[in-house]
Amino acid sequence: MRALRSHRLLAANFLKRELESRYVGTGIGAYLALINPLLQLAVYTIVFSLVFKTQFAELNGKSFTLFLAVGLWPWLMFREGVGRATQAIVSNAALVGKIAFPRELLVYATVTASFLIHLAGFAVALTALAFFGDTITLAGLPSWLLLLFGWYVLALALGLVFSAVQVYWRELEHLLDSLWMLVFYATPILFSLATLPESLRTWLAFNPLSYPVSRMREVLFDGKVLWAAGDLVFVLTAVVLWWIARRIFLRLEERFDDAL
Amino acid sequence: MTRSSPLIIAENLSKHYASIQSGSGGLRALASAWRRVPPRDAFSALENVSFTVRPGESLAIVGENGAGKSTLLKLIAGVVKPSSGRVQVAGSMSALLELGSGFHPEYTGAQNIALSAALLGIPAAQLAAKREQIMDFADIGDAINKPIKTYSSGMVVRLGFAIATAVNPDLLITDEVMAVGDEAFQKKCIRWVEGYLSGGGTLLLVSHSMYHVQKLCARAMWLERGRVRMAGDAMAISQAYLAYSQEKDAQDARAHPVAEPIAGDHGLYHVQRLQLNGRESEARLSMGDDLSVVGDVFSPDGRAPHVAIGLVRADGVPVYGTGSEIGGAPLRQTAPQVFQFCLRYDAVSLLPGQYAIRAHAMDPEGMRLFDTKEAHFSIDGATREMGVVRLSHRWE
Repeated sequence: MRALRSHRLLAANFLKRELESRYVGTGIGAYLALINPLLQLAVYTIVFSLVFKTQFAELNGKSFTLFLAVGLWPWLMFREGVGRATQAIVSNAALVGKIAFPRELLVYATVTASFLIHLAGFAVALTALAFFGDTITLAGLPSWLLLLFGWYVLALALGLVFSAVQVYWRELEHLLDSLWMLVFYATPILFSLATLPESLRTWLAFNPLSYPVSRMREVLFDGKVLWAAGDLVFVLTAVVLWWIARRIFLRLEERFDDAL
Repeated sequence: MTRSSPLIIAENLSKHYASIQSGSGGLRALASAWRRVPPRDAFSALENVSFTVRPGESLAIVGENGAGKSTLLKLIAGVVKPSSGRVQVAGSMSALLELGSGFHPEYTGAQNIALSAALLGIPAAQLAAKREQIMDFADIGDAINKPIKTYSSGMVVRLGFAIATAVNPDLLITDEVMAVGDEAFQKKCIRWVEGYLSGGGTLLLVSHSMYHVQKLCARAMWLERGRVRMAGDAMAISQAYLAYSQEKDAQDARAHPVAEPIAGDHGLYHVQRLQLNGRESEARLSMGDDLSVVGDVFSPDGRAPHVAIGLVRADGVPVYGTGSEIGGAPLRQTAPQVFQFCLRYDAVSLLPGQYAIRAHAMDPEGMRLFDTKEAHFSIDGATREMGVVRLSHRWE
């Protein structure tokens, strides 16, 4: 954090550049930021709601589209943030080899950009859904923000480790590509844990992403349990993981110039 | 000044590079980076280098290519981390390392200005105010809005220097950058550096130009194969280094004489024979002796070719050059395709030392130069005069 504070301007510069290069100026930017997630949402809605006629108690009369939306966007931020962060150092090799600055800033800028972009998309999507009468529980917003913070910090932690390993071991990216799909279906995004048979539920509970994704959906979707002790544990765990990830990153960083 | 605390402290700096390529063995590289063990087949670029630089001092680093100069600057600039040892810089710094350094190749010039500002912790707005000054100094026109990767090396240096002048750092690190760009710009840079130094700035300079070293730096350090060979007064070090490299050049020249053109009638104009005072090589003269340069030039089409003759010092410094075309002296045909030349220098007043004659075959139009044949000679004598040649003179 000290590095962040003294390099505020640099971090801001990286973030600005990251946002610009990804979504501004390119005609496809808006598509990536909003249309693409909306399309995904539409496809899942059609498949599960209209084709399979998915219906479970947790929906409680609310629409399946909203249920999906509040799970899908947090996933997108995380997936894209960590995915892009994995490449953050390697794709900036020219910069890393020529300028002295805290390399972790590149990871933070990448993850932050993804979160900001999809937060904006999320806001637009929720507003649109509200027009059709699918409203979220506003009372859940404070706890959602707390969970989002933990979610973000967790993405930073994974991004740090992956980006550093990727410098030395370029196969990581390909390995992750196939893993992401698996993780997507092993995380309660298209379904809720409660709808699963007992045997599967125990297994999925081992997925560390299950808890935050479930909780982030819960607080916005029905807001039945606004605060849970687990939320705090999750956020603290994320912070600890970030601290450990940062140690790992700083240690691996020492030899970046050898491998880039 | 001498009592102020050091601006740069370098202690036992060493840097080893892995010679294995990334990609294959990636996991092994990862493991050795994690365990902080030396990479396999490590190549040592720098070995136990220590020095300090106080504010207001200027230090030149000289040495041959591959001696570790650039690595040392990178370590000080913080771009790479030392394998062992410690380096500390207490102050703001502008590093103009190898070409394009300090710049993001994908960013435009203007974006790089903002990036440099951010790196130095200067709010972009504050630097924007100096934009005029930067643009003025760099003088690269509209290119400022194009990505750096489209710049010529001269433009990159211009921009780099311009930014450095605008931020006025505590420490300026330059790696050969003053040798890039046209002469006018070089002079502008030198003028600025002199002003910067007299204003209390600190300079770390890597240069092959002993002129720059002596002009800009008080101290110098001579690196050889990653180690400090000599350190001290810039004048003394630069002279010692010059003497060493002249000697080395001369040795190289003796060890690798310019490849002789393939004998026989291969299809181009070439010098077949070159003799100095009747000898093919290693002619010895005393100061004031005459020197005759005689040789044959092969002409594939039987037309009379021209020849250009250059006299150089052993380290390659040109002394005098002329040619049969300039002198209006056509070559004499001695065989259907062979033409002879004979050039005579009367009372050669070169100072004692090692020299060489280079003969270049040229086409009959005197337009194109085809090959080079070199013959070495030495001038013996004892004199305390300095320079290359004794100019006709008298004391009054």
